[in-house]
Amino acid sequence: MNQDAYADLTSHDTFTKGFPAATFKRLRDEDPCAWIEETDGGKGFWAITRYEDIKELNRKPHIFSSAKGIRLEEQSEEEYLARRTFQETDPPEHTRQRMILHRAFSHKMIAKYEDLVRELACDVCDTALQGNQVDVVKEIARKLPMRMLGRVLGTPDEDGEWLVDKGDELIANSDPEFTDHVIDQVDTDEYRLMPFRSPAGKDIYDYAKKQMVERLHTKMDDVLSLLLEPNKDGDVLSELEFKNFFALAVAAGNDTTRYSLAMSMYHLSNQPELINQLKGKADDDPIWDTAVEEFIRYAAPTLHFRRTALEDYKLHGKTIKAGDKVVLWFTSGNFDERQFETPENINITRSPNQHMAFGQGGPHACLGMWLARLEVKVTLQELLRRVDTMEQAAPEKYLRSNFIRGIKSLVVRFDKAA
Amino acid sequence: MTQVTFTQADGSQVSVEANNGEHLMKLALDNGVEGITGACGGSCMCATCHVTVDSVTGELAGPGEMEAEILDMEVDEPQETSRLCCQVFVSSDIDSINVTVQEG
Repeated sequence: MNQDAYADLTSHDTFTKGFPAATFKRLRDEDPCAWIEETDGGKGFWAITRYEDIKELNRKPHIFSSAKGIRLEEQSEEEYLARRTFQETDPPEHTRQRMILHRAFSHKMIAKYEDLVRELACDVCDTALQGNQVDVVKEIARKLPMRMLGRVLGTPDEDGEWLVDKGDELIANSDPEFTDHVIDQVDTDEYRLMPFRSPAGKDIYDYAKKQMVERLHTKMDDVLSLLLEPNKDGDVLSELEFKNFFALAVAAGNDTTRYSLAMSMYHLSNQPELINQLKGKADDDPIWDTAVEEFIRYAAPTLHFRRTALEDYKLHGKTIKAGDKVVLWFTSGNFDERQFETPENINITRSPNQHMAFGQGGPHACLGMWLARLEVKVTLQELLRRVDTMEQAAPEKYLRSNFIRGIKSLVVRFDKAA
Repeated sequence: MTQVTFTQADGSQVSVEANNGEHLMKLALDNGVEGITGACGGSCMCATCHVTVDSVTGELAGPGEMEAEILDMEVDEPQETSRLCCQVFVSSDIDSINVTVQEG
């Protein structure tokens, strides 16, 4: 954890030093609706950092709109229209698309994937755990969601590596390890109409179009085919909606689960008692569900989503003006002492655990939350079947991003299970 | 005030007095009702707060279009009285409501 209480939340570099916990705590305690100036030309924003406030604003999309952008970045109308996904819409427009997509990501539908996730998790763990030391983020946390996403969407296995590289270029567009077009360091104007203002966006658009054409020609038994079918009202996704959804799935479907798994393994490697609590527990023991919720609460990979006020709104004595950017720091909410007892500690039996890592409570709650939970649970089960001990062997490295929080490298020494 | 009673899977009951505007999922979580997890936080996006309404004294509006669609997608055999309790709000039109926690 980064103990600087005055860290610059607008700077991508801040987050390479670890989660700025002390800054969020200061804001929650002293200025829960703080005006933050942006140093990169942005017009500034309100930082909302307390759990209850985030929850309140998140469920008022008629006042706090997603339809003018969901990240700090200022977008022109032209950029917005070209790049928007259903994330960048408000109800009722949002509801229409969300419900089309929900068919493929419902709890009931995702539960059917457990055997498949387990098969992939076994393979990924067996491959990764051949020596006695491994970078578990690169070899486990990054591999599993990528392979699973390919299977869910219905893209060929051999395209998985290419897709995850492209996904990283998009969502990690501020980290030079993942892209040559670092958003705050080189001119990306040429790509302003592409997802995440990235040249990888065009490659993904082209790939998505190919997948779409193939499925319109021959229906396949996969999610992409399902999404191309009309719903009960005869409503279908447009080509641009499909392409933008595909880009979103490749970006968001990969890295947030990766960083949830990475954070889980970070704690397992540093707190041996967690391994003792979990190892040997039956796969259907409820402790796995509470443990996964707790690891995801702590990981909270999506640092924030931004909204734009459509009318004036008073909060903690401040007036948020219509047109102002309002940033809901979900990660901070997950560490709010007003909601969680000793939030800085991992308690794998914490219940209830109404965290907000998935943006719960608002219309944009994560579409993939059931898939993420299932992947984290099954992967941890298969990992702990194979190791008796885990110990961090080198300092972890953090992603350079003020949007996605994650450990991108974690080298672990382990003893294999007898 | 409205009297809300949850019947849990083992038949035991949790009874609470609720203020107008509160939804039943929050009441259930705040009062430790077994079987209500509210995994989507009340976004009407899952059925982990699925209940059946046993009786109401007063007027309770039916499920909205989205709630009905989610019930249809997430619950194996939704019943006529099935509701997502994150969408059931206490109001002055309701004196009391009894619900049974269901699988979701």
